[in-house]
Amino acid sequence: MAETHLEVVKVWIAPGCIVCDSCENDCPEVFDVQEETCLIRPPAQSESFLRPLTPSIQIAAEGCPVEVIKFETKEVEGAAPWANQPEGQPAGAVPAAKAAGPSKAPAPMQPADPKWQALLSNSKVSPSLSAGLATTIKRSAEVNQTEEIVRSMDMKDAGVDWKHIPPDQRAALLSVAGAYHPATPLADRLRQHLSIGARSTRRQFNLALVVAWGAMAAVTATFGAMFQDFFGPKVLKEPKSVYRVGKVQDFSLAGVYEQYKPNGIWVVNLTPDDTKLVALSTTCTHLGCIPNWLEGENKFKCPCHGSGYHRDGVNFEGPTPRPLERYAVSKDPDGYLIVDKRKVFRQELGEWDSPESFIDIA
Amino acid sequence: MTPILAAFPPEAVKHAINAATKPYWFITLATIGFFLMFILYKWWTRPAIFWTIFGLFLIGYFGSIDDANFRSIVAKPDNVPITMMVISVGLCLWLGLRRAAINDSRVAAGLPLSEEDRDDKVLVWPDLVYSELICLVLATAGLFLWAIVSKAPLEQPANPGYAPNPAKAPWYFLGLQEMLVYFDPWMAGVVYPGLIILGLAAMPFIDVNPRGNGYYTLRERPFAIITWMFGFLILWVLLIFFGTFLRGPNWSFFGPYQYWDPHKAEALNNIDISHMFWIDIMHRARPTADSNPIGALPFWLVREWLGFVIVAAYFFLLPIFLRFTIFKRLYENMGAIRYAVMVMLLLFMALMPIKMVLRWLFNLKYFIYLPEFNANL
Repeated sequence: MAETHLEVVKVWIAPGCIVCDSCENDCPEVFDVQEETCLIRPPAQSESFLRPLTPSIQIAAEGCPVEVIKFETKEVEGAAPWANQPEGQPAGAVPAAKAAGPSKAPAPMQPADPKWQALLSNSKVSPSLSAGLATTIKRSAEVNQTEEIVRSMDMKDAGVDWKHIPPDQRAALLSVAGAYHPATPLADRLRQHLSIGARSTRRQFNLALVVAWGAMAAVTATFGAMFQDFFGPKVLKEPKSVYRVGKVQDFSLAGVYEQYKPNGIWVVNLTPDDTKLVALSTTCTHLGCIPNWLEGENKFKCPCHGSGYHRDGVNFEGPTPRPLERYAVSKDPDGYLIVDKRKVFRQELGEWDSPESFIDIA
Repeated sequence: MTPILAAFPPEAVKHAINAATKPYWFITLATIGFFLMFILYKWWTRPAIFWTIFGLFLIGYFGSIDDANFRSIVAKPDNVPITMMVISVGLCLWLGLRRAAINDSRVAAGLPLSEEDRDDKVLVWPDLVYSELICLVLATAGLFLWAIVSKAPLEQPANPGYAPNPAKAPWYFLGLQEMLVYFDPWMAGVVYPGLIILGLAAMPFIDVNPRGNGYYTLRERPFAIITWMFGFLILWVLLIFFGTFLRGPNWSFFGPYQYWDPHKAEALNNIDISHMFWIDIMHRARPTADSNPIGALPFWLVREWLGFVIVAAYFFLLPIFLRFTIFKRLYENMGAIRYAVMVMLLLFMALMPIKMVLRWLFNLKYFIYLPEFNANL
């Protein structure tokens, strides 16, 4: 009588996997347990790949605690090729079945080819594109299986001879055939991790919310306070702005009086050009440096950008756009000169004619 | 000290350099040198020639420390970075143009780019991490040594009534300070720095030409590279050099071997365009509110009309003129908006050296002088 046996031709995972790793232990060729579910490895989509693995798939399905491993079987004539093998090593013992089975047996799994392994582990792979591949090769059963498939393919037309191609090209071929899964990128792992974290309870979520927003509010408030403090005055003392600088007759000689420069004032007697006594600001109208009075050159000269002013404060050289400013001057009842820095007179606005801006010493 | 050393560099050379560093000569020579550098880039970047030039420069530069005036500039702790800048800019310039020259020659000979032949991939560990560690140690040691050898200058307490003479900005801002000499504070202090930053940020959006990405070349991108290098080398590095070596007391110009005389007399009676027109050509006082020849218009517009016309022509007619002449192809490639932005930035950039030269040659102060509004150009 014709003996028959069942072979697995299709396998899938029903919803409800608890990622217990049990099936991957029983049949690593087919099952790939990941963080959230179990996947069927891509080579295991093909019928010919699955058939010789029937016993271990069955063991895995029986061992599944939640029974989500489903498979389809097909009746095949002849004795099961693995029937006489001892339990536990179903996958490795296929070669004998080749002759026994009436249907053409698929490319069987074999242990790693030692030559191939030696080649990979010893060869100095060129520092090119495939350098990264060689370091990621793990001799998993899956790699062996893929290698068998690639070997059995006739690629002579493409000029590829498996026996004679360099190791990096072998690795590349294996890669194309799907032997390697790229390592999960760090970003994906982080994302997975975070999505697990997001499945926290409402209480945890609220706590995290309070802590995070609290920390952010504290940082913002601290920086805001620093910002505010930065703009506030560090010195509260209001500098004096009205000066009694000396008797008017002390300035009766023509020239520039520099005694009050530290207070920001040049007292200038404009004789013989004019019969005025004026108080010039010592701040350059270009960008606020303090110019120097050069007696020999008869000019004010700024050390920062070279602006120059005549003795009366009118600009004539360098980049400054307008003359030095004059302060309000007056004579008090005791005959002293009072300079009021709160009132400024600008020549380009025609304010130097104002009687407050000078003292007539004619 | 031996007489040979005492005579270095020879007096004649010092005089020649002092003369060549008069601003208009210097910027003219620098600009000619700048363009020669790009025209002859295949010649001078050959290692033998470059290292000869560089060696001569180093001998001249460090040999000049014997000169008291030069030493007072170079040996100043503030100015040590300037020496580093001069040397590193020279080396980087050579490296870039050398590789551009190699690539351009290879492309002309039908060979692939040198970058394509190289396998640039190295391992992070150990290659990169080791080099980083070594650089870190060397840089730290260098900084320690520098800090020990040259002390930070400590001056008198701040005094609002006193400014050092010359008062110089930190070395990296000397280019900005030099700009402030030629422009209104608003222009040189706010508009120009803002435009520099905006222009740099806009560059990837203006220049979308992919050629030159990831490899050195000059022949494929002459306009872009030369324009950029002009802005960087002439209008930034050179101005820093100006501010360091050539600006002395009262912000007057001095040669690098000249004594910094605080009483150096220089005629710098700067005049505006309106002054040239009304006083020098029309022989009358500039119009004011009281004496306005065209009463229908505000007096400042009448006074500054020529400046307004020149500036308007520069910024509005010149782009149109360029669009139909030398920038014709560029306009077609870029489109109207990109072209408008590019040409505006370019004209602003070009205004810088134009105004500098006009200042040195004609003592021109402002094209438009409006102290009434605190606005000058």
